[in-house]
Amino acid sequence: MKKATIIYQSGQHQWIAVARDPDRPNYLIDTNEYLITDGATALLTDPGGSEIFSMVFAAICEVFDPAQIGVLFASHQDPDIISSLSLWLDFKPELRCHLSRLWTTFVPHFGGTDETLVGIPDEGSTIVVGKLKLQAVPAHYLHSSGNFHLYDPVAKLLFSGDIGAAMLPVEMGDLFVKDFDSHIRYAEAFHRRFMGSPEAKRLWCERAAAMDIDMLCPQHGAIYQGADVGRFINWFSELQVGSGLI
Amino acid sequence: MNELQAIVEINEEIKSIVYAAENISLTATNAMLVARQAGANAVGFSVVARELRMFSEKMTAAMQVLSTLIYRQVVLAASKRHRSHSVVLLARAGSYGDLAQTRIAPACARSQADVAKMERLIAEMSRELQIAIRRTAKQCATGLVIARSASIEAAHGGAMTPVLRQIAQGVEEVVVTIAKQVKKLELQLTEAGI
Repeated sequence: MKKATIIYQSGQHQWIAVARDPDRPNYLIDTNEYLITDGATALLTDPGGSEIFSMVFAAICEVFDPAQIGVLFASHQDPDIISSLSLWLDFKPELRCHLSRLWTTFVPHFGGTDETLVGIPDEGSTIVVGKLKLQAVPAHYLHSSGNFHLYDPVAKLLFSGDIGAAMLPVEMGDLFVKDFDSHIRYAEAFHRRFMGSPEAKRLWCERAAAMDIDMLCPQHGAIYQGADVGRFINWFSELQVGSGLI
Repeated sequence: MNELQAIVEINEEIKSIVYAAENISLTATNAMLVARQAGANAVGFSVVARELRMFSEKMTAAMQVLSTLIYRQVVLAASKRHRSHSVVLLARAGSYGDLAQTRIAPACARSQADVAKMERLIAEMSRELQIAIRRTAKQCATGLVIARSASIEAAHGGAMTPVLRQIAQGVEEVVVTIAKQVKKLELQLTEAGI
């Protein structure tokens, strides 16, 4: 089963990482879900695919009542991000899911109605969770053409979707990056192939560098914290991506 | 074979019956035209050809009913399969401990109720389908009588007798084919238990 770990806490404000499932079949890519709570209400980022719904749900149950989750946030439209939507709606039909306006007619193929999905405009938006004002930050073409990250200015945590993702071997199961240089080798091929636009990458790096970020939390792999956040942004800004050719 | 696969097979069988029924319509039209050409020699055949034409219209209507019913069955069976998978995935969440079980139980129960409702609808529609197929089988029996009457009347067609016989034989072949397919369909439905 996945493990839920509190990675940030200040009073009732928490970030809980749901990650690392030892029972996950190898043919399913490993994913991280983040539950951002403010007291009795919460938002869940990239809830995951339908095949891992049970593990995510059960892990959340250990630390938080899933019935209190009011909002889902999908960084983009991929199946590992949001194909569990119909199961979440089975559990709580009134859930709302925020995602790029580009995907509001695509994602209902996974489930939901026109009331379920809240389209985020290209320039981003603010998502209110209790007293928290979370910022949906544009990250278009990185890798999806309608792509958002989620920044919590109070906690100084950035959920960065596929940016920062690493395809780590089983033995590197730490939740946080321990050794940046050995870690980043597992991120390189993914970023070269999946990040389609050098211009979008440059803009994102400038935007991220200007933000106050204590932790950069990707959807796959380990979390960057402290100095590793800056290291990652520098590494990514110098990486050659998006030739359009294999 | 699962329920959806069985329904898809039945759908294919119905499609082939619909195709054969389209042939009977063409054959009936042809029979009426030839009977008109044969004139006074083929008065009897002409009457049978009109009956055949009516029979083909009834068959077309019956095929529409069967097609509609089976289409709905395919949609329902596919939806039920999807919903049943949701039940499995929701139930799996409950297998991780009492806490998860307690929290997922209402959603699981709702999904199971949906599946049960779909099962009831599928059973209801299967009964309708069986009635429609039995009705079609009876129509086929009538069709066979008409085809045999056409063979008898063809003998009085004078110079046109060989052509009328050929048409009567064609009609009989098509009706026999449809009757066999309908019989097979009845059997498939029974075997599938739907």
